Amino acid sequence: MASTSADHPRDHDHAPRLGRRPLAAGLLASLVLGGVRVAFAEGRGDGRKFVLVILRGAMDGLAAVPPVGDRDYAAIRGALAVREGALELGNGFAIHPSLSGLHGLYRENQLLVVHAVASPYRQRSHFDGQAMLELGTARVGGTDGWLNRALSAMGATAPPAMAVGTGVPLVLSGSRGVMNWQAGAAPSSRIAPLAGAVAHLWEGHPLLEPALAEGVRTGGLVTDTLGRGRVGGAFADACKAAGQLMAAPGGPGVVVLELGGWDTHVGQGTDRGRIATSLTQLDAGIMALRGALGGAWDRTVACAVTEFGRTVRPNGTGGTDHGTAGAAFVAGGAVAGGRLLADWPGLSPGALLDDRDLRPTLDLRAIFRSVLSDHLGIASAGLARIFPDADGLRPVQGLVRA
Amino acid sequence: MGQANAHVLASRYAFGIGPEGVRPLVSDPVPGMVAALALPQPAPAEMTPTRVLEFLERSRQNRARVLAREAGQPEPPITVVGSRERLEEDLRVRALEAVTMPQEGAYREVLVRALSNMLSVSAVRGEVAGIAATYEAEAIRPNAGADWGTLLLASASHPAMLAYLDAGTSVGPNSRMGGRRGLNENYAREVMELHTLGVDGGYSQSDIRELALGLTGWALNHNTGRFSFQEDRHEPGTRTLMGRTFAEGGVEQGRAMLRFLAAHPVTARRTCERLAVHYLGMDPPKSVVDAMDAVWRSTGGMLPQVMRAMLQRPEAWDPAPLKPRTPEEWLTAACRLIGMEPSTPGLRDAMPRLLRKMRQYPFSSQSPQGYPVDTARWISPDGVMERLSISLEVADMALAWRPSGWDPRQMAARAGLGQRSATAVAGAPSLRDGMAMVLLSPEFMWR
Repeated sequence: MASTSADHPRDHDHAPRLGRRPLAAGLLASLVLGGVRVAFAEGRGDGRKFVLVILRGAMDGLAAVPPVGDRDYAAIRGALAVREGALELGNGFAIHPSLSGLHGLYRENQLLVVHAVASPYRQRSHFDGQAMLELGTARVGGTDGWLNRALSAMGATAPPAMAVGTGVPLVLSGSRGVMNWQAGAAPSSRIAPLAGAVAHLWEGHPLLEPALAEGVRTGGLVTDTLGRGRVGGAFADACKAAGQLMAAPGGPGVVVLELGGWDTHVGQGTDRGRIATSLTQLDAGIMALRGALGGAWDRTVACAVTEFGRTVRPNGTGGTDHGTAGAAFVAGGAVAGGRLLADWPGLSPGALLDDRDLRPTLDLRAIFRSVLSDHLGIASAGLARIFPDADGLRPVQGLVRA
Repeated sequence: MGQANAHVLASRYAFGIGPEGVRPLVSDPVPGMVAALALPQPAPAEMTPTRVLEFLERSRQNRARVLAREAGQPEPPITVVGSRERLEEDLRVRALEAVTMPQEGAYREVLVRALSNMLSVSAVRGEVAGIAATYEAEAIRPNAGADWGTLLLASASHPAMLAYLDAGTSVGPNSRMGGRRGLNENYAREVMELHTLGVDGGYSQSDIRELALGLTGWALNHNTGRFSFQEDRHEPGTRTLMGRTFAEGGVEQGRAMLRFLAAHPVTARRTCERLAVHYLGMDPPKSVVDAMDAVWRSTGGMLPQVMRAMLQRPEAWDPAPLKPRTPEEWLTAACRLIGMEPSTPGLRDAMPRLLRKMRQYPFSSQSPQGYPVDTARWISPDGVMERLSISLEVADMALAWRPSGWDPRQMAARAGLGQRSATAVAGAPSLRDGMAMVLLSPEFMWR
């Protein structure tokens, strides 16, 4: 259901909202989305599209993109090593079996897999890690995200931007107005991960623990596992809606989506289990996005990134803890894909960071900067303002097709 | 007072810790609390009569529509706001007031709501919907600093109570109107069982009948929307209630009988217990109830003084959480901790809606007992799942309002969470989940 417009004269981050009435007079196009008529004001053609998918909770890069050819991988990953069904990428890397759609994109040269990549953040708090990922700085603290600054840098040529989901995330917050589309609330897909954490917190409580156990059981929630129900579920729906909105003339050119469920401290699983469920959702989402974009996919770059990776060795509860470097995906018809971008540090004891984490050899900001310059055409002076602490970063070349 | 604790003060006796957290107490808070409870209130704007007349007019308009429809004629329009809409709007305002109220005002308001539940009216009766919140504002709140008898009389004569428990339509068999309509014992039974003596209070069925007879004539005037005593419905003669006789005296007869019940020692003890249960949990220490009871006897049931007796007990300041927060208490505390404001988008409409989801839509209990005082009843499988869902909704509202500037770890510290909960909050995978975890921590679910 679209968020309805309310008058918030100073709430410039959130105007205009989509609602049951047109945004403005002089409409060029409208579409019906989930029963709600959505219309856009007159916009430009060209339509280079950028989608950012924030994977909240620290996706395990070593599970998503297992370095099967690394000689230390199997031993150090132990029970969490993904071998069964992993899909070959070449050069000693594979992709998790749940990411079969992405694997297909890879073979069509529409997916760039990035590994051993991280933001400048080196602690292990989700809140601060996500903040730094979204701020685009080397320090936590700030109220405007790098993508909002990018829109400002584009000035009059900036396309409309939209956050899909509840609220506008930090990466899109700032002086530039953006839209917010709320897909119909799908509480069970967000409650499930929370229920897991709450069950842990309430363990041993004489009233809360049994109530939750029974509530989860009768509510049919699956807190562990093998996702039942529609593959992809709410995230795929959100991606499909995003694609439709972007494909509509005058629709947004920049969209941010979010997907949680990545914080696999317990029972991570390998080719099946919690990580597999989450990767299935991601895969279904990207493929739904591609389908909904139609021809616009050729002009699209979609990045899926996470705040940090996870520990290389399993912990004591069949999962992993917060790490540093991980993997990222850059997908789209505009991407020069079919390759893996990594300066692989290895998994031997001396190669690990703090003797626990995959060592980062690439900065995520370099990926973002490359997209902004090569795909959205932002000049280097603008880029310096968007990523203020990033002067010394090794640039990434050839990310998008000529 | 060494035992008084700023956290307890905010969580147990007010609406919850605000976004700035709590400052340590520098002096005994009890005198200030009692002064706030005793402070005379300005007379509230009288909304009840207007609402009553509006309801009656709407009922007339509904009937006219039905008749027109049956006669195959065009239906006349409804031109008057419905009572449920009125209630929903009243509840939006009321919910926001609790979220934004300065702590000094909250001591009294927490008591008002407790009293309002003890003398409960419910919108399950349609006539009550539009006048339930006004009942609390006009009968309960102004008398929360008075004695129990005064409060009981105000409750008994308010149109909401007259409608809810049928006192307003009860007719004495030997009154001038007797024969056409009959005696209704509903209110008499409930006032003895729920509002005063309690079910084991030592009264009989004939006492209930005598009280009901004494209260005949108490009615709602359909022209003014106010209480009026209708002589032609009043049962003439002397009444005998628990061995005491009450001379015929029109409306004064019923008032005297109610005052008698209010002043009864069994009522004193029971009401002290009910108040102690509200604040301190299902098994309040006997020493606390004893102290309250003694003060009740010596002051004739003056509520601020009775509350002081409770507040002066060290058990009242037990830092351990004593009872689960009701859905309303929890939601209010959540919005306060976050620092939500009336202008927070979505908040105003959300609060009554979320209270309904959690089955504590105010003034809508299924029975005259009001909402359960054994608040553990809400810690049910459905109840906790609903809290999970709603804590995410509340976090969403906060994040939609301000995408940045939240730190769940700081929220956890302000809320006084223990180590285990604080660690869980700090490790949450997103801001949204982190904020939800604060609200779902056992410390925050209790007060």
